[in-house]
Amino acid sequence: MTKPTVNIVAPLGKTVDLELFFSDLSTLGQPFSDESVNFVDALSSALLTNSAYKMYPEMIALGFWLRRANIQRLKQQVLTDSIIRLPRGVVFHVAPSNVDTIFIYSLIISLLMGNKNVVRVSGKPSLQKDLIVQLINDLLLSPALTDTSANLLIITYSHDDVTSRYISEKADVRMLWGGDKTVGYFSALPIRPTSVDIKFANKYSMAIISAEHINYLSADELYLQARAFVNDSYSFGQMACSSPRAICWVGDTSSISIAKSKFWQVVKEILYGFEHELTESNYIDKLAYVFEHASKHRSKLNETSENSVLTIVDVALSEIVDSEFHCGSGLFLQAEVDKLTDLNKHLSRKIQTLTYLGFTFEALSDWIRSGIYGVDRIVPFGKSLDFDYVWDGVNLFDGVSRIVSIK
Amino acid sequence: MNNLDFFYNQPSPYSLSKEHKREAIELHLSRLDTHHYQNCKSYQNMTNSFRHGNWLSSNSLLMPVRLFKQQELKSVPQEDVFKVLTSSGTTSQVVSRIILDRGTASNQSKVLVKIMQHYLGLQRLPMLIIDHPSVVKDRTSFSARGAGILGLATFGRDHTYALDDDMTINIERVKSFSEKYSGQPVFIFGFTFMIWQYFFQELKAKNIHLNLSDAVLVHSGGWKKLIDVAVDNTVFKQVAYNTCEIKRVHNFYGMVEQVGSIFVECSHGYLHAPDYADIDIISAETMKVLPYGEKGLIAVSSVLPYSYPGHRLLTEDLGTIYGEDNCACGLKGKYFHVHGRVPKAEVRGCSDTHAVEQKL
Repeated sequence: MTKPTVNIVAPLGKTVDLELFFSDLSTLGQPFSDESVNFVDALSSALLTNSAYKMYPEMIALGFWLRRANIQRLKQQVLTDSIIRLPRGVVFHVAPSNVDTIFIYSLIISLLMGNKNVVRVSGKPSLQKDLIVQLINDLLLSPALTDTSANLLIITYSHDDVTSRYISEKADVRMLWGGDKTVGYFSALPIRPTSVDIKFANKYSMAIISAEHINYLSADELYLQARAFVNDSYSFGQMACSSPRAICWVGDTSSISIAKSKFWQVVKEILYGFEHELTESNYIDKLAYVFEHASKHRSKLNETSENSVLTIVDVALSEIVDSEFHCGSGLFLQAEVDKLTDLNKHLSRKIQTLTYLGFTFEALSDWIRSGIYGVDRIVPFGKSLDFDYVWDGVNLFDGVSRIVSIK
Repeated sequence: MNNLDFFYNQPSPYSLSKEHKREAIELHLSRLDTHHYQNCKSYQNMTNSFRHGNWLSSNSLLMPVRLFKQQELKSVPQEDVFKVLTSSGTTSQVVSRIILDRGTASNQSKVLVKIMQHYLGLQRLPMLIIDHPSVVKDRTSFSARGAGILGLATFGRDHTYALDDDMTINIERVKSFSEKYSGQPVFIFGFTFMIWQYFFQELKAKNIHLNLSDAVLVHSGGWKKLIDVAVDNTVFKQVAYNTCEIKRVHNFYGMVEQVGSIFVECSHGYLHAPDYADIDIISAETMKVLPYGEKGLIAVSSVLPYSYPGHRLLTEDLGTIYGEDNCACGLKGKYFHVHGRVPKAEVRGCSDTHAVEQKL
């Protein structure tokens, strides 16, 4: 086999024999070892205290998720006395090039389980990615983290089959971020019969709103909810797979009509002062999308839309999911139903997150059992971008560990 | 029918002062609005969509030029379709498809003649084409390059191609052309990048100096590749003079979606809107018209597109209008500069479609 060539981004200054990295499993750790927990805690402290990260909300969110208290809580949920859980071995993480922090979550989960990790990050320059890699490099200099250092390799390589194939054949788990195309590409490269893939496909997310509930909210409450919705939607230019791209209004026609105008009015006001990252090119994409959609489906631009930042298109319920062409950038397809079950047949496996406003936990848990093929998570407004170790319906701790039974 | 006699009867394609122009062109464009609304289902649906929001005015709907890449838009019955123009996709392989009937095609030629004659005179001049001959051989499938050359070739005679099929310059042919017509006006045409790369650069490398001092050089096709190597209009003109002694250079801005009513660079270095067309600068953030002097998206309108709804288009190019009717060159009409394409946005999101596509 041709020797692959990779560029090691972390740990910096280390020369690594790839062959040896994969074959030496003596450094596999114990789940939630003191050292791994300390490393995660150090990462958290740095993210939360260093002002360099303050301007990136997703870095702060990451810092919070990595706090010692949260990790202890995870440990209690994951490690139970009744089962023996061990690391699977070498985990190959293929990070997405566009959301700069998400691979850190799955990497940390894998490190905490005691696995060895190879992370392929994109060679494309990204300030957030560079910051986090630099931070990891700084931490790994500590003599107290030699095991972590031995179990972690962050690399870049030019897209070549040889390297992808080589690592795929050595890995026990492949964690494939990056959507349908990346998953498809790696799926064609063989893994060992004993290895597993964790795949993250392209996903589409929506909001469900009870009109009646909106109409009950005080102005202050409505503002907070609308603010949360804006954060959910505009944080990554609406391109995160969990950001809502469509809104399904639930209720009778007259309540919906009142609720819509109240809600969008507040959203519009919030957006005047919101630092979104949308550019001219995004606006053109979005305008072209609205034209194309109208010409094909006779959809109507909603009267609330008056500039390029907030774009609402009234569509038939059957058009509310457009996982193929939806361009993000502050575009909301909008439809109405009498009751949640009217939405059931549109919720395919492509649907990831439903952010909701105005439904009780009981109502939602009854509904989700009423014959729905898709939907991975249902979260209140403001929580769409929160990471959870159960992602796209998969428990990532389970994915990177093996359970041994002794009878 | 699209009757353009009012415009044809003007003494030059740059005659109408702004009040007259506004009235004439708006009347004509609003007739086209109605025609396309009634005869193109897609256009009707799109107009209806923008009835309610205040994002774009549905009364003078600016259609993103990209729509011609996404679907076939036609406002005449299928039996009237005379030919289909396609663009050469630069950034992607998707091409624009422009449906022409005989009337629209004929108006395109007529208007192009009116505009070009303004710069070239009524006589057909000996013509040097900075391209290779096979680019126009297959007349059934018009690439934008081929169509552009064929369209302009009618203004010349003794068509001489400066390049061979492998894009290398044919020095003998070029030299004999310049010697044969020495001291006479000639017409040189090509695409901006081709001229720079395969003509000027080759002449420089081979240390050949041509005397084409009575030539009019007309070129188009965008500056993107030249900006990458730090060549702007001033440099281009200087090199035209240094290598060939060419003093009259006219760049023009046009697109396959609005063939005919092109915007030609005047003697003072500004692109000018002819009577048949107009230009506005639009803020991408609001989609509203910006005042002169501000940079924004170029919107172009033209009285020609009858067989397809391309009379009011929003391009993906950035430009600045400097004024109307008061350019130092003396021509009427708005005058402006084009600054190139809107920069591509950084791709965000959980899926890496672009990165992987490049690889595959």
